[in-house]
Amino acid sequence: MVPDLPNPTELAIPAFVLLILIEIAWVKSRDTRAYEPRDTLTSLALGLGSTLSGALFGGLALLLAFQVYEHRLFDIGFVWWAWPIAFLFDDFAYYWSHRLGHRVRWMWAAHVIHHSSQHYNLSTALRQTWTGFLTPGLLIGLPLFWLGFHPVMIAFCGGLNLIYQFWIHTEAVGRLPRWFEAVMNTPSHHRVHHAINPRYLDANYAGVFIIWDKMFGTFVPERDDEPIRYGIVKQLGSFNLIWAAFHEWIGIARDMWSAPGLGNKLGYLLRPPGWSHENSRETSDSIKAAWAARQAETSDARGPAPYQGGSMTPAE
Amino acid sequence: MSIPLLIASLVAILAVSALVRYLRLGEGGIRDAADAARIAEEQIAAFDAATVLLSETRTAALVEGRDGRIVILKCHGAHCAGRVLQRPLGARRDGLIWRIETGDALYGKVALTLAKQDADKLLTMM
Repeated sequence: MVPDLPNPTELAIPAFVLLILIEIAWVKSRDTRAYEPRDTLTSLALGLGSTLSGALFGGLALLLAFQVYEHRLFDIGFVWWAWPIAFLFDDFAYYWSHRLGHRVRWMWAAHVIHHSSQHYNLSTALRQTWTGFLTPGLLIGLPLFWLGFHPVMIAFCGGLNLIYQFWIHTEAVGRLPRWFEAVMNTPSHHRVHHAINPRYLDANYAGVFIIWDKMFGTFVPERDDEPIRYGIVKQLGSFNLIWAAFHEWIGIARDMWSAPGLGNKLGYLLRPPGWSHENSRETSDSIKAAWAARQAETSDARGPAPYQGGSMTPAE
Repeated sequence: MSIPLLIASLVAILAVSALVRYLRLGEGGIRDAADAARIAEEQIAAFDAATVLLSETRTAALVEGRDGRIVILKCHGAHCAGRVLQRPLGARRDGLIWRIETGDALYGKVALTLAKQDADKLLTMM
């Protein structure tokens, strides 16, 4: 019997608004540039658009999930122990879907909306995709249904996952206790994810548990000596909702139209954002490489650290 | 999503944005030439700023790099967004205001209010 579960994200809306108001009060006394009226309006309106898009097209995802569930290996049902396992597996699937969302331009086109603000506050968390249903990201979660986790259970866990991710979009929380930072995704870890500083690009894809990044080599800790800059490598410079939601799709269409040959056309869809067939643009990899080369040059120019005393000789 | 929830969400969105405006949050701008140089270097990979033409409005700047690249900065809310421009620069003058073409329709033209000395420098950069 399928339980009648509420939509957790809709229930959380009053809490979202309340926490945003608390953060605004905090910002007022500390960093008045952390919120901006048009940016906030854009973020919240994009969040509402995402909810409407989910209501319109979420059924397609559920339909596909039920199709796979029909061929499940095990009858897990809604037993109590299945809930934490489903939550964990769903978070694992989220990690990979999110990672591909940054590394495959087709999926980035849907996800870029979430990174399009130059601010990082709780309203930024609500900038969610309008076009996720147009990408293959959903396929990553399908093995969960094939294993026998009910689509309603996974949808509920996905909602809880999204609610968890709301509160980590803030500069108001510094570092949390070490044990918590070691296991959970936190504001510190997620600030790194939203950063465009070269050292932080393509890091910390976790949803709830940061352990996935540590397991798969994408974890980068936040440093105190480098202020974080937020947004995307080529900042939009616009508060236009439609442009924020669709600019990368339009870019892909233009590039695929004008690129010579099928391989190049597919490259603009399947390769990382910034890839171009004539190598004229910057990807996160090329930005990181240029930054690393500059760092090395700077450190070579400085030479070795001067000898500070003690008994160690150069030969040692 | 139910209609009452949709309406309540819309009201909340407008109320929160109005509050942010009322509290005068997010007022930014470029402080000085050094600030413009720093922002340009942060926005454009491997960019070394050399010459800065800062608009007297402090809302935009044109920065020439040591490698000859030119970056335009436009204040966008509390922050700036930059673009690398292609030479020859497209610009129209209206008194002290220079409207620089960026070739990016959504980013738009950028207005620079320049004193004569800076306007002369701009002419040499174009």
